[in-house]
Amino acid sequence: MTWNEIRQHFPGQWLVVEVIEARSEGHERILDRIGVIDIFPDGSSVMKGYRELHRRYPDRELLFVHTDREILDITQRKWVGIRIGI
Amino acid sequence: MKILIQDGLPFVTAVLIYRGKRLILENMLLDTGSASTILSTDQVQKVGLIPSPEDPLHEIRGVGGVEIVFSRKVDCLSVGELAVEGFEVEIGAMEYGIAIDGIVGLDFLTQTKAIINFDRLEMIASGSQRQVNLGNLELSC
Repeated sequence: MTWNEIRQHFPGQWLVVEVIEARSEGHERILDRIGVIDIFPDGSSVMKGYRELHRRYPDRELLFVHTDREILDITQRKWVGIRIGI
Repeated sequence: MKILIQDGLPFVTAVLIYRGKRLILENMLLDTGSASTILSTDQVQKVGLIPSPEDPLHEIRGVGGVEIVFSRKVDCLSVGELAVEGFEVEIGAMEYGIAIDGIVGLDFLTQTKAIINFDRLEMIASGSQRQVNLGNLELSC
């Protein structure tokens, strides 16, 4: 679905969604097709739900988002990570 | 502020003040390789810092996959005598496989003009900044 379609189907909701099709333009991540994974009652539980899903599927492009948000404007950055010693 | 080396990485304790509530974050990684400062959602929700519909969202792509964080301005973030009022932090799930409450990034370190001393294993403010901080600390930090 597009973001507008999701907003119509799930008004006023916290969601965890998965990106199906997206493109990067400079520092912007533009999401063309998105799938809804789950619905949550508040900001606290959506973070918990996102965390759980992200732990299990770290390579999938998941996001937590509220459908009151009109424009899905997401900036993107690279991160090369932390190297842990032994 | 003492720097503690754990698993070969430097850690400090930070104090967050959000909407008047105080939270001590004991396992903050000191990371000059991180442009921004990030806090763990598990910790900050204790002071009611949870996402709201219009928070800016950022996608971070790296070796551990891809994650989404949101950003929010907090009353104050401090590490020992170093403090920034009205500081913007990122909040994320931080599933990195190590026990970590957050990352003190270069944005905080440059704004506070931090001096990291690995000989004495401590982080302090520069002399001039210390005077400024003493005034600010009495405001909200």
